[in-house]
Amino acid sequence: MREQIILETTLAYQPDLFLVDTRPVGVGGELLPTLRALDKGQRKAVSVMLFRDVLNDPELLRAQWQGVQAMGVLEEMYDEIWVFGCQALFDPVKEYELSDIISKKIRFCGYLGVDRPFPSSEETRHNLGLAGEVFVLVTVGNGRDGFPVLDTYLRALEILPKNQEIFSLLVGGPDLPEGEQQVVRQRCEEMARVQPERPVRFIDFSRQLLEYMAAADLVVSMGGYNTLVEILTLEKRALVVPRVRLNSEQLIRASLFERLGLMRMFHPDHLSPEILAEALLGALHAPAPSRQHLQAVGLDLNGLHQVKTHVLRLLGERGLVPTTSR
Amino acid sequence: MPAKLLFYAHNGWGLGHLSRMVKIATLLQAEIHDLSILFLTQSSLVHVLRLPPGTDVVKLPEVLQKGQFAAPKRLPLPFEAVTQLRQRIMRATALAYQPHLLLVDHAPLGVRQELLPTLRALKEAPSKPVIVCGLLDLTGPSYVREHWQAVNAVPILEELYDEIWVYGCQALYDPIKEYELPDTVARKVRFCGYLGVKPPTLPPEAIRQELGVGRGKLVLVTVGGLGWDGFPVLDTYLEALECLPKDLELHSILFTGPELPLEQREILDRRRRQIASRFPWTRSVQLLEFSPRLLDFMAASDLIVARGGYNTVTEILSLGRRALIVPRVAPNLEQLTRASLFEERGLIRMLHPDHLSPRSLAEALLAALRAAPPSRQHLQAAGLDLNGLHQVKTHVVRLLRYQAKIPSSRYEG
Repeated sequence: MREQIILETTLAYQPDLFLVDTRPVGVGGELLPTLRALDKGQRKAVSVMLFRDVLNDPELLRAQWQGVQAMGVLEEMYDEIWVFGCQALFDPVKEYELSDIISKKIRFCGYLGVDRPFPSSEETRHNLGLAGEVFVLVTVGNGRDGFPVLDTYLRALEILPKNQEIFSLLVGGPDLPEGEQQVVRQRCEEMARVQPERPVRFIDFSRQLLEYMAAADLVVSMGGYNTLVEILTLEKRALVVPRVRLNSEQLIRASLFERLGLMRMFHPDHLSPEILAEALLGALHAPAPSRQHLQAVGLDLNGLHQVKTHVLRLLGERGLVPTTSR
Repeated sequence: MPAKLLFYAHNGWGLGHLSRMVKIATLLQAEIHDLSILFLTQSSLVHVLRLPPGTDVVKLPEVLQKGQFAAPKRLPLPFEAVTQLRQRIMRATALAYQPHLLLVDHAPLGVRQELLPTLRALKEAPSKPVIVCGLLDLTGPSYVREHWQAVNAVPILEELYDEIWVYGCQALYDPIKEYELPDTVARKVRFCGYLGVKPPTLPPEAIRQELGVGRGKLVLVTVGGLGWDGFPVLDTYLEALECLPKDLELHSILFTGPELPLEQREILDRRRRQIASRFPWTRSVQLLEFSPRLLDFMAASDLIVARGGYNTVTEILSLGRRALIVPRVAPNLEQLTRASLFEERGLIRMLHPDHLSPRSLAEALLAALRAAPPSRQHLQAAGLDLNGLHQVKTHVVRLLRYQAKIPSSRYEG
């Protein structure tokens, strides 16, 4: 049914540009009829594959792709491949052993940095009722498997030296299971009673996560693409506990950034409250990554602008000349 | 293989059509085993309404329709291109899904006749679906007559529809007579009764306690659905509060809906604070956008002030609450007709929007609060059947049995 809906929608819509995120053949090959139809249509659409910086462990990815013949599809059905990362940092051509035909289609766009103004840190800190204390934001993405990080963080707080004043904001995420959410909420309330100098606030979800991040002194998070890119755009100190189950995308990304000295990473299997507490203190005394530092290691955060440029180029080649606002 | 239902719900003006269909889906999923329900709708709010398990949505590109005016809501494409797109998505979905029953809400041809290709394709489909049109109790008679004539709906109902379910009572309002339906169509009509709701499990006292309402009166004001035209009622209500006797302890919850413009919300908020400072002990006002617990709050209220939409009025009556209805009188007379009908039978009180003023509303509030709430006996005597959801389930089971897609019902009754 999905295959039919996608195909019929595409045929009726007659797109000029077809962007496919992450999976070359979609779920279970559902995109194949559509890709073929677009390839043969009277007004051939440009099909573009979109990849994150790191997709998965190279060996696993190759096996996964072999199953669905993704390499062949990338060679035949896609006109371009846009990678939202930097070749100098992680080169999919080398890591995934992509053929010449495929690698010729690749355009590296840089990371999709955050591109909007924020209220000042002072304003956000004021709204949170903060004076001069250190502000730590703990975010675990959608929260589905975020409980261990939240739990370890709370335990780490308990063993920090008493003179360290910290305000912590824990964001659970929309998919944090109800039971775990309650445990964390209770622990936070308890801590606020026992250690009033170290208040912890818990919220299950916030639209203002970026505002909070912009005002934070340190971010504790998992290793998803968006979160890490936001941390880097905002030039924040970060302690990252990547997800290692299912695939090693987050582990590879976090190790990469750690090697460049942009953040610190902890393998979840080796994470303990003691280690996290020590890292917290260490990180708070270290300088935050600067713009110069990002540039020096070759980290380009201008991906959104690059994407716009590519879209304009392709539309221009098709005789469509959109006017832009800048 | 489960029995497959396909629901078409177009929400033009508010959320009413869609939330009614979700209500039906929720009951069917609770009471019939192994049932798949797929919605065709343009609304991106469908997930806010909490879909039951076994249910999913194919979302259509959005169009706006106001009377004769129609345009795409989001895509900057010609209207024809977007309706083409919608038509083809619907038809492809229907053919791939192969439903056993298609339930079309309200508009037998869909927006601008977009359903025709799907209806025709399903007539030939291997799953041989039963095609049903669900109609409200009433929809302003002249509107239906004119509109249906313009789109040639009667021949389509004759040719392509197997049944027509009316979510109302023939004794109260007879669409066959009012819409002048020919015999060929009238034969297909089944009256289901109003789609009443079950009272919440929490006792009203507990809800009142939670809201901090002790001995005083609790009045809930809701302007229905999205609330983009609710301001006059909400604003007049707050002004009316100031005209009421000083010693009357009265607590209010106002639901604005998510689309109330921000400036209007600020005006209401200012008035709310003014009232709170003038009557610190006797008059509290809460201003809420939306709550999934609206029914809980309704059940605990002494009086509900609302517009005259089908869902709201039906909910109020099935909870046995007093209602003061200020019906919409545009784009058609549906709400006015419904409110007048129920007022004549002493089930609700009505205030025509042309006569809406702080003073008239204050008087109507006092009178409504003094009157007894409608009792079960009263509803029965007026010929009001609120068992529509159960009837709809019975019809679904009957049709699927007839199709030999015999689902086991979780209870028979």
